[in-house]
Amino acid sequence: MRRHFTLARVLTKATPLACLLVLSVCGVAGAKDSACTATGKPGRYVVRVGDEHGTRTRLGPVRRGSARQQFSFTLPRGATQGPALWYTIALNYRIQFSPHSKAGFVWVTTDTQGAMSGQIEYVLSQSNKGLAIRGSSVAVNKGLRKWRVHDQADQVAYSNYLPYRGVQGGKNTLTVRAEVTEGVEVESLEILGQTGVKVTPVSPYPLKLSLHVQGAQPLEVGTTFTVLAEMRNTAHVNAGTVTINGPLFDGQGLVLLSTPQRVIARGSNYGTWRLRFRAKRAGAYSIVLGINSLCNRPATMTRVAVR
Amino acid sequence: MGHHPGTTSSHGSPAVRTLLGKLLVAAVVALGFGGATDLAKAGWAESPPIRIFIDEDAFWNYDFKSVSTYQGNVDWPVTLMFWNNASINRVKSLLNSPYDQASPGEQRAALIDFGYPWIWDGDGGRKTTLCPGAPLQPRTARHYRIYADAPPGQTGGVAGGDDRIYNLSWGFWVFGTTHFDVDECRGPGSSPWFGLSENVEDWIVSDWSAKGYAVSPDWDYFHNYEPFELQGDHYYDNNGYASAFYVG
Repeated sequence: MRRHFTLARVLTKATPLACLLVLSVCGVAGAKDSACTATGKPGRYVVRVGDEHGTRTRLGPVRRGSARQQFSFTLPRGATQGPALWYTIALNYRIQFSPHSKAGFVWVTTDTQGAMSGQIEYVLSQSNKGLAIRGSSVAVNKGLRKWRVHDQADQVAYSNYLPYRGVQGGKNTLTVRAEVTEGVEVESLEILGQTGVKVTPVSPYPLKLSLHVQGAQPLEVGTTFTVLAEMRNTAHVNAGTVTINGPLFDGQGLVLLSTPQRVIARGSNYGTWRLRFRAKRAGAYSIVLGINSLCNRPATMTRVAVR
Repeated sequence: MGHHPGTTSSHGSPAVRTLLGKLLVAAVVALGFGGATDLAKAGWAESPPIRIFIDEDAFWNYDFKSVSTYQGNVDWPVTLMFWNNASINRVKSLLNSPYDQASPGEQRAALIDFGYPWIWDGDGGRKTTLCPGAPLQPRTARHYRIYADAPPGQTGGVAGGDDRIYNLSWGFWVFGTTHFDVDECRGPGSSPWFGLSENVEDWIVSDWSAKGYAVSPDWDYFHNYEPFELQGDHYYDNNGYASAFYVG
C-alpha cells in the first residue's frame, strides 16, 4: 500500500533554502526532548502523513512476519544528508498488543529506501502477572531509552536523524513497519498524523572538539607542555553545560598537572581549556579528550613525541 | 540501495564500499599502552587493542576477560559487525538455530564509547552446544558474543546490555567476536581449548547467508590480525578483517 502526498510534493519542490525561509515552530526533537534544542532553528516537515487531528493510518493485526505502510515524497535534486541541511524522522504511533501474545519481540521501524532511521524494540515476556512488555529506543545523541508498557498499549513520539544513505534527490519512500517474532501478536499499529520527515539546518554533531600541542616537538624529558582543547558549537544550539572529561594517556610516559575535568562552556558557543602535562619518559604518546554535553559528545586525540 | 535479505554481497561490492569505506576515513587510534613487550606471556594478543572510530562512535577491536583494556587481558578479536537494522536481540533472534544455546555464565566485556562516558558491555553469547564435550554432546561448539551499548539517555534512560548503537553511517549496529569451545565440559584429564576466531567467523558468514541475508565477508580491516598461535588455552587465529552483516 502506497500513498503520495500532495503536501509533500508542494513542500519539496521548493529549494532547501526556501524551505528554511518558511520554517514553522516544529522542533526537530520529539515533545519529550528538551535537550540540544536550536532556538530559532526549528525543523520543517518535508512529508507528513497527516495533521495533528487528521490522517491516521492503521496497520494490523500483525500475527506473523510484518506489516508495512509506505509514503512517497520528493526531495530537491542533489539532496543529501548534510552538511547544510539534515533530514530527520518523526515517528508517532500508538500500538496495541494482543493479551494472547506469546513471548518474543516486536520491532517498529522506519526506513527510507531500506536505510533504517527508527527502531523501537519491544520485549514481551510471560510472568506470573501475565504478559510483561518492555520498550526501548536509541537515537543519535539521545542514547538508550527504556520503558515499561502498561495495559498492552503504548504511544511513542520518536525522532532521529536519517542515515546518510537514507536521503536522495528525487523520489524517496518512507516505510513504517511493524514486525513480530513467532507467536507474538499485535492488534494494531496506528501511525499518527505527526509522523513524517523533517529538514533542519542543525547538524547531529554540532559540537566540535580540537586539540593542539603547543610548542615544538619532540619535547625533552622533564619539560612541561600545554595541550589546548577548543570546543566550538557550530550550530549555536543549546548544549547545556559542556564539560571536558579527564584525558586518556599513558601514565608511564606523561604526568597530568591539571585537574582531570572542567566545565568549559555554559550557554556559550566557544570554550577552551589548557591542560598542563610533564613529559616523564621518551616515546610517542596519544592524548584523548572527550566532552559531555546535552548534544553530541565528541572525542578527539592528539599525539606527543618525547625524546 | 542497500542490501536486502535474499541477496548475498561479495566482499568489496561497490555499494558496501561506499557506505563502509567511511571507516577508512575514520581515524584508528592506538592508545599508547606502554609495557607491551611481554608478548610471549600466555594470554597476550599479537596486536595491541585499539579503538576504531566511526562518526562519533568508537569501539575497541577486541573483547576482554574483564573490564580492562590491558593487552594481556584481551579475549577475542572483533570479527562481526551487524548494521542497518541491528539490535542484540534482533541479531540473536535472526541467527537463532543453530546458535540457540545461551551462555550467561561466560560473560566477557567490550568497551564502547561515544565520547564520554565510556561504557562497558558484557555478553555471555550464544553457542551451538552449551557444554561441548559433556556426555552425549558434541565436543565442539561455535560461540559468538555480541556487544552494543548506549550512554544513559538524557531524560531518564539507563545503560543496559540488550540494545544497539546508532550512527548516520551504519544505522543501528552491533559488533561481536567469535571462537570455538572444544572439550569445555569433558572433565578431568581432558585438554579443553578455545579459539580459531577466523574459522567461526566464516561459519557465521555461511549461516547468515544460508538464511537469505546479505553479508560482506572480510569486509574491512579491524587491526586485530592474530597469526595461528597457542597462548595458554587460546588458539589465536584471525586475519584482521571483520565481516559486515546487513540486517534488513
